[in-house]
Order: sequence, then C-alpha cells, then structure tokens
Amino acid sequence: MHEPAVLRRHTTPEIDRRINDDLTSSMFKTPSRYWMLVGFLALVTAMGAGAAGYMFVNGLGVTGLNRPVMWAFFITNFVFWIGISHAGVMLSAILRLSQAEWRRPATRAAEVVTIFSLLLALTMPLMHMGRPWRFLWIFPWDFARSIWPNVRSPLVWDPAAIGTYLTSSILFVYVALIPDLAVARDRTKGIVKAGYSLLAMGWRGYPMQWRLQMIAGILLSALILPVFVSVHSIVSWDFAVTQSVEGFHSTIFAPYFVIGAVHSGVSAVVTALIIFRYIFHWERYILPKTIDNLGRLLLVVATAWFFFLALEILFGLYARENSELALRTLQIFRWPYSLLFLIFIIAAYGFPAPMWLFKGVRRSFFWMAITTISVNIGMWLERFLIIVPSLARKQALSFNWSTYHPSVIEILIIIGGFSFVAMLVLLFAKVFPLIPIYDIKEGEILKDEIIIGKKRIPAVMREE
Amino acid sequence: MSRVEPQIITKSNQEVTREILAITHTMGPGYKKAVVFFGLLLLLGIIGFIIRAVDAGFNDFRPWGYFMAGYAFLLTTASTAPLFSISQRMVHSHWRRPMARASEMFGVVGVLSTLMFIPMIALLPSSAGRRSIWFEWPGTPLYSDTLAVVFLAVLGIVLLYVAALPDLAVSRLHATGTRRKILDRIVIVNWKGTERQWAVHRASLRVLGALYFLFLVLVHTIIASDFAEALVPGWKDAIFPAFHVLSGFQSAVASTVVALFLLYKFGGYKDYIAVDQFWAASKLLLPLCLLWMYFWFSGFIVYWYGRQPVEQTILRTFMFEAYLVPFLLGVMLSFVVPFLIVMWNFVRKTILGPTIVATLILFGALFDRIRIYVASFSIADMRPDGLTSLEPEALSAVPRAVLPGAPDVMMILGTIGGAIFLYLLAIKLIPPVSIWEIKEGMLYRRRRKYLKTEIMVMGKPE
Repeated sequence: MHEPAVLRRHTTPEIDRRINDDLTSSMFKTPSRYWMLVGFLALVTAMGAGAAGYMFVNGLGVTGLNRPVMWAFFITNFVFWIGISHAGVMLSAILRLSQAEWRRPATRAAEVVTIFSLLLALTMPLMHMGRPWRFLWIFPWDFARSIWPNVRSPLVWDPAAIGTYLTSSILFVYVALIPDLAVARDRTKGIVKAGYSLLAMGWRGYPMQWRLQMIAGILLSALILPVFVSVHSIVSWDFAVTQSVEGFHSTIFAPYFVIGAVHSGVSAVVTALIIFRYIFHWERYILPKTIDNLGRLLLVVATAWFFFLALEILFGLYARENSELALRTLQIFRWPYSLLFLIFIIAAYGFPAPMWLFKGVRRSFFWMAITTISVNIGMWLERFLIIVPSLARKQALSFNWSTYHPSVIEILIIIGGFSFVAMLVLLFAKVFPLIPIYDIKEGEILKDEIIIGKKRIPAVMREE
Repeated sequence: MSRVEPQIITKSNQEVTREILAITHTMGPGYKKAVVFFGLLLLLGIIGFIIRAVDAGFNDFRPWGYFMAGYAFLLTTASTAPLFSISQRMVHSHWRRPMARASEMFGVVGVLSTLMFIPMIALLPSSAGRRSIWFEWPGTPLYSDTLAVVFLAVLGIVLLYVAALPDLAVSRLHATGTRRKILDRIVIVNWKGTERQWAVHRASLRVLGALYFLFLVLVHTIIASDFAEALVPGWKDAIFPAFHVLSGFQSAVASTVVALFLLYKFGGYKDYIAVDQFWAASKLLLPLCLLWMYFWFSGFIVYWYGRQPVEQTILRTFMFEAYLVPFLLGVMLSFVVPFLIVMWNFVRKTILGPTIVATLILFGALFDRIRIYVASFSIADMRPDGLTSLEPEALSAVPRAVLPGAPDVMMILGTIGGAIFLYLLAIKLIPPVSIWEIKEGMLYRRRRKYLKTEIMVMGKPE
C-alpha cells in the first residue's frame, strides 16, 4: 500500500528565539500607540472612579434608581461582566481538554479577560449598595449579636461562587504562566529579574516540572468547569427564584445565562485578540484560521443561545397570564424598550450569526471585530431588558408603575468600568506575555504535515 | 475489564472494501436468530397495541401513556442518534469514522416512530382553551407536529442514504442476485467518485446535518410541550424542552456506543472498531451526564425554592410521590451510576466500561420518559366540557401513579424490539461501518518515531 509521506519537522533554536522575541515584544518594546491608548483609558477610568466617589458621598439619589426599578445599570453591568468572564474558562479549559490546536494563541488573553472582568463585576454590587462598606454583612462576623447572613439567599451564594471562580481563575492563569515567567526572568536584569524569579518558582523546564505543569493544567481545567457553570447559574438564580417579578421566575434562566455568557465572553475575546494583533503586530500568531475557528464556535453558541431565548419568551407567554403579557408587551412593543429590543435581537443574533455563516467574514479581522462588538452591544441590552422592564411592573392595578432613566453618574461609572478592564488587560500585556509562549512552542513541535497525492495536509502529533 | 490497545489499520484500500462488504453480505446464523427474535418482539408490540385499542379505544388519551413513553423513548434514542455523526463530522474528529454509520443507521427507525406518532396525534385533545406553545393557531398542533415528525424521519433516511452512497455504489459492484437488484434500484446516482461528486457529497452532508439538527431540536421541543407540558395544568417550565433535547444528546451517544459494541462483539468488525471509539465517546458521556443533572437541577431548584403550591404539586407528581420510583431510577441510571463509573480514565479506556455506562443510560432514559409521559397522560383533560372552556390554572391534586398493564409492557417491548429489528434489516443492506470514511481516515493517520517514543500523526484538513 502506498504510504502518504510524513514530513518530519522540529522547532529549531531560531524558531524558539523568534517566538520568544515576538511574544515578549509587548513587554520589552512598547509602541507609542500603546501608551497613548493606556493613557486615554486611564483618563476615562478616572472619570468613572470620580463619578463613583461622587455617588458614595452624595448617596444613591444621584442615580436614576427609584421605586419600583431598584436594580438597573449596575446590576445589568454586573451580569454582563460576569458573562464576559466566562470566555476564559470556555476557551481555555474546554479547548485544552478537547486538544483543539487552534486554541493556543487565544487562551491567555481569554483567561486574563476573565480575571479583570470578574474584578470589575465584583465592584458593581458594591456600587449598587451605595454604601460599599456594608458588603461586610455578607460575612458571618457579628457573632456577638447573633447576626447571620441568610444562607438560603442567592445573594449570599453569589460572593461565594464568584470568589471561588476568581481564586481558581487566578490559579489557572498563574499555573499556565510559570514557564513564560521563566522566559521573562531570563531576559531581564536587576529587581525586575528578581520579581520574575520569585514568580517563576525556580522553573528550569525539567521533564518533571513539565509533567507537573501539564497535570496541573488538566486538573485545573476539569475542576474549574463546574465552578464556571455554577457562577452564572447562581447569578441567574438571583432573578429566577424571585416569584414576585414577572419575567424573572423562569426555570431556564441558569443555562440561558450560562450560554449567553459564553456568547458574549467569546465574542469579547475575539474583539480583544483582533485589537492585540493590531497593537502588537502579532500577525504570525493570531491567524485568520484562529478567528475562523472562533467564528464557527460562536455560530454554534449563538444559535444555542437563541434557542434558549426563544424558549424563555415562548414559555413566558405560554400561560397567557395577564401580568406576563403586560411585561412582554412592555419589553418588546413599548417605547423606548421596543427600540432597545430591536437593537438587541439584531445586534446579538440577527446580524452576526448570518454573517458568520460565510467563511470570508470569519476570516476577516475587520468583520469579526464588527460582529463581535455587535454581539456585546446586544448582550448588554439583553441583561438590561431582563432587569429593567421586569421591575417597571407596568400592569393592571399596579400602584407604583414607573420606568427608569439612567443618570450621568451611572453612565460615567459604566463607561469607566469598560475602560478599566481594557486598561488592566493592556497593562498585563506590559508585564506578562499575553500569548502563551510555551503553548505556541508546543504547537510548533506538534505541528506536522502529511502529503497525500499532490496535496500537503496540515497534521498534528498525538501521544498515545 | 480488559484493556484493548488503540490500533491502526494497515490494510490496503481494496482489502478494507472487500472485507467490510464480505462481512455485510454474509451475516451468520446469529444474525438470523436476532432478526427473528426482534421481529417477534415487534409482533408482540403490535398485538399489545391491538389489545389496548380494542380495550380502550381512541377516544381518551389516558390509557396510552406507556405507548407515548415508548414513542418518546424512540425519539430520544434512535431519532437523536444520527446527531452523533453529524456533530463529530462537523468537528472533523477522526475517531468517529468507524462509528458514524452506526449512529446514522438509526435513521431507519424513523419509519417506526412515524407510524407510532399517527395514533398519538389523533389522541391528543384539542388545544382550544388549553395552554400551548401554538397559541391556538389554525392547524396546530395536528398538522404542525405531524409535518415536523414526518420531515424529521424523511431527513434521517435521506441523511443515511447520502452518507452511505459511496459505500452503496461500491457494494453494488460486488453484489450479485437479489442484493444486486435492490442496490440497482437504490443507487440512483451514477457514483464514480469524481472530485466534483465528493465535493457535492461533503456539501450535502453538511446541509442535511444542519437541517437534521434544527428539526430534531424542534421536534423534541414540540413533543415535550404538546404531549407532556400542555396536558398538565399549571406546568409552566421553560427548561423542560431543553432538558428533553439534552437527554436526547446523552442517549444518542449511548445508543451509538451500544450499537457499536454489538457490531464489535457479534458483527465481525473487530478489525475496524477499536478502543479509541469507546474511549472518546465516553469522554462525551461524562460531561453529558453532568449536563443532564445540571439541566434537571436548574429546573428543579426554581420550582422547589419558591414553595408555590402549583409548583409543589408538579414536583410531587413527577418526582416525589406518584412517580418516585421511575424518577429515582432515571436519576440513578442517567446520572449517578454512569458518572461514578465513567469518571475514571482506566474505565473509559476499555470497550466494556463505556458500553455498560451507555446501557445504563438507555435504561435511565426509558424510566425518565415513562415518568414524564405516563404522568402527563394520566391527567384527564381538565377543561369542564373537555373541549373549549379554559382549563383550571393549576393541578389541584397529585394523580395516582399508573402502573403498566400487560398490553403496556408488550407495547414497550415491541417498540424497542421493532427499532432493533429495523436496524438489523438495514445493516444487511448498508455496511454499518462506513467504508469510505475508514479509508479516508487511513490517509490521515500515520505512526512514526519521535525521539524515543512512537507517536501518531493525524492529518487535520481545514
């Protein structure tokens, strides 16, 4: 039988050096546009922080919150950023476990987006409290007066879940970062080298160290997945177990929120990767193939999300209860929510999903940036439309029907939050490699080609 | 549990074709006995159906709960099974190759499920004045459901036909006598294996796969809604159709694994089926078991937490009182036991381990469908005049559990037997191990030395 040839290739020291140079360039050779961007983001973040300070001093009266809409921009933003944070685990853990080769350039960025989005998400309930020091009451510390948090409330489950997720995500990023920290250690001097040495924990790349690092990666990937699912499920139960608000009490909320989170999170990672590619000239690593695969993944995720959305609306209307009909009418057909709903549906699914059917779009950085930004505009509105119209309670005999108008303070805090996450991710790129160096090198080692007839087919080595 | 090492097929293309066709064309006496046995089971089911029809007639849907559960079990297992090959082909996994056809072959069971659906749709009470996802649109659910179910069955058969076309063409060349005549009639395309034909073949599989997936989700949704949820006053549960779909995915993998094991053990395809398939499929079963629990729990917690009387009655009906036993069996066999077994890699990397797990899951799916559909069918049409008045808002009391009578047992056995019977007939004509996919896989898979070890090199065409 004719055997198709296997082309044997290995990484050479030249390739190693090139990868090291390219992927540490963000740390050692920072282009001026980077600092301009960071400066701008810092300015916007400062405006947001200033607005938050003003709100803390003057109280929640400076926001648009009023009866009956007491959850609005901050909680919308909280749910949104928790959603964004799901990208890290989705991409990194699942794709690592499934040995998807194309994941390699995208994993670290996804994990870092997870951590910083979680940090921002955590600030949102604090903003929402108006008096953030009150968060201490979620801990059982006032033993003397026998004051205990209500452990039956999802509002207490939230901090526990998010805290666990944040801790495990940091651990997840750190374990994957160790070999790259050693690269940084070997390329720096003085106190910076000492810092990297400390973080690299004596990494020398011995077979035993690689083995442990690999096992830790797999174990953490497997263990973090249930945490990832539980976090957004618990956030969804903040709403779903509420019986008094039409539109909240739905059994599908947990998986609906999780899949929505993956939809917006992966979209955010694609947007981030395209921006990094532009800023740091990572054309050799973030390839059209990478975003093509992410586009395919997004198409599946978006369609699953749309199915859940359809079930949520369908079974909301299913019973034809007057209060539910009133809510859906308000949410979908009454100004200004009607416009927001239209934008939401088009931006989150109607525009991007059909676009992703075309290979040309999936392989275009421009169109993928546009479509993924569109998804996140839509997904932010989705959370807003779940929360605000439901609480507005426009229904028969409602004694306190009212709607909500955000104040400038809230808008500034929200914009500041977006800027804060972007700034932190960029600053991270200044200190740590944002594309995993060892992962890329491993990909180069495993990469192979086979020749079938006249065609060269990309191939990959697999250890049995 | 004996471990079987992964294997690489080192035969030539011609040998593969000759061998697989020879196995398909010359089934042994065991095959004939199996066909007779399952044919008799089907006959038993038909007799059970006739007894029930004579006994209860078709005016009231309540005596038909077990028949409906049998139909739902077929939808969950056989009709969903082709999804396995669709999804794995979509992600270009190589390990799927020997088992893709085994899953697509379940498409032929669509004939039986469609036949079973006809009395069910006739029995369904009018949707007028009742909660329904169709909101009393004209022609629903009668025509809409029938159209969806029939279309899904047709799609399943077309998908199987298109996927098997290259093998049918080659099978025709090697066939003689009656088989040749049948194949001459079936293979209407003049398949020569040109580059253009392969391109069209690939595109057709993609389009048919996507269509099948969408219709399958739709059919699960409408069956779950029209034949269970809509019959129970006060049951408003958005996650239930999604849970139905998800348990279908789990059962699809399980059905394929069991079919593959039988082909491996008794079919004579040992040279082409290896531990790789069972190992990889069990890696899918693990998250699917967890997802089964997650979807169930997500619905349960929202109902349980609020303590609303209407929701408590639903929980007591379906889980904690009337149908406690099938519920517990469903949870144990769909989640607890499979999860505890399949979580261990040394078990996953065997042929027997994943097969046991898959079998348990199939039993779990059966009990779960019995719990859902027998309970739903046991509740009388609550509208005062049984036709158009509005039903009460909630189920007032937990109905008594309906235990299966002899005709029910006969119908359930007949449903399962009939599905296997049709499958067995199909594998006599269509090779249950895809020849062209095996040969394609051989091109992409090589072994070579790397440093001190031997590694596999897998082609990954984009």
